[in-house]
Amino acid sequence: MDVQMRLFWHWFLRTSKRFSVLSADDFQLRQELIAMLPRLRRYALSLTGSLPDADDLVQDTCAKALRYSDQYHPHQDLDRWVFRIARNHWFSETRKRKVRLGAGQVDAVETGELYTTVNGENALAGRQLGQQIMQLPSELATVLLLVSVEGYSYKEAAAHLGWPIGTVMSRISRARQLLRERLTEKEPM
Amino acid sequence: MDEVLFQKLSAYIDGELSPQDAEQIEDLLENDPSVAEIYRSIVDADARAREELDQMLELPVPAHLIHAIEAAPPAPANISDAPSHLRVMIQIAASVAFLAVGVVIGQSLSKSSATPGLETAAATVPAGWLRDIAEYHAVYETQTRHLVEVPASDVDHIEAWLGKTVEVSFETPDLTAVGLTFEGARLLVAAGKPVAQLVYTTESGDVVALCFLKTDKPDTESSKAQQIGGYHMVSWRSNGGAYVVVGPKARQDVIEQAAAQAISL
Repeated sequence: MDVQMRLFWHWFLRTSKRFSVLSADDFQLRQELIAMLPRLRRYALSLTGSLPDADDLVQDTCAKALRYSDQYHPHQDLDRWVFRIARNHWFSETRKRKVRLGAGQVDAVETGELYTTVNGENALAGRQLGQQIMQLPSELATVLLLVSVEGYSYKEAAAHLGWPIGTVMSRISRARQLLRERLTEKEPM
Repeated sequence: MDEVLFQKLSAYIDGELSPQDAEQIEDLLENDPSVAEIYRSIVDADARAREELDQMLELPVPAHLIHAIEAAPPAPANISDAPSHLRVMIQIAASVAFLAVGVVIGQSLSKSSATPGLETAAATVPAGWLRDIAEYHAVYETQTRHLVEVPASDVDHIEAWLGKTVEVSFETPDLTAVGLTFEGARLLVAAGKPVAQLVYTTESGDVVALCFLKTDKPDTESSKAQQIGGYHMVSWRSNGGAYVVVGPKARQDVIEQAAAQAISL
């Protein structure tokens, strides 16, 4: 029934909006996007591993969010909708790059390395642990951010990331394992 | 270290284990110091990661991003030039449909209390009274006008009533030294047992609670800090009572000070 209710709301709001019963509040959306920028940048950084790429992604994401604001369901969390746009856009761009470069990506669970190949010099100078987190394989950094900081349940993270719940569980565990190892290396516990 | 055990400890921190697995982990934490040590190191790494990630929010946002949002073209216009009588008809149709669907939903919800789907969802909630306390806290901390059942002004009644109901005699701890004002108390039920909840607030309005219930388990040698959902919790057992101080993760320092103060009293 929950699904039926969502479908109905979706139809009702879109229909109403289309016929100006509920007009899209463009100004308010822009204000909310601006207020969300720090969190959106942090999320983008977990996907990209570098601030310049993250800022490009944030800009593209906001432009898309404004262009497709009629697809936003007012009853859902704006930040989650925008995060999803960012993730979809990033992976679409990554696929294009992969095709251009003829290279593949290593699955996060198969890598034992803490760092990705992204150049860390431009990311978060002075924040060593933060830098290490953002240079985890993006699947690990993203799931750690979503669950541990943004408060997503495993079910919500699985829906957002398009993974089975078991994968969310194993990847967040892997992320914590890598960070713990890194902290233990630096500061014997 | 055992990968599966690490995964379970990680999921336990997130409150995502099944009741059986959560109980297994809680037993291990109590009885196996090496597992408890690993657990603490994961909690520590997680807390430090969160702290670092939160600090990222303070990075200055480039002005060009703000400008790009302000200057972006508006969404393509919707079809709003339909004849006004058509708009009115659609509004009416939508309202009627809304009412009809509402009736159907209402009927379905009234039948859904025993659906397997809800049981499945409930089964994912980890066992243990601390999980229940975290869930209560999430509900009550927002009820600023109805924060407590009995106000602080009736402290004698609170101590008599809850002491008798929970079967743990107590004196309400004065936690003003750590910046907490006593607001009053509630009676909860967690893990099938009555639980006393003494409610305090910080100067900024954050809600911190000291909860306790009767237990047959032996006293703990030290308190245990953990995080469930969005809450930091410090728990211990003493003189037939199991205690926990709970509050928002962001007030971890106050919660730990309050627990230390309560233990010392």
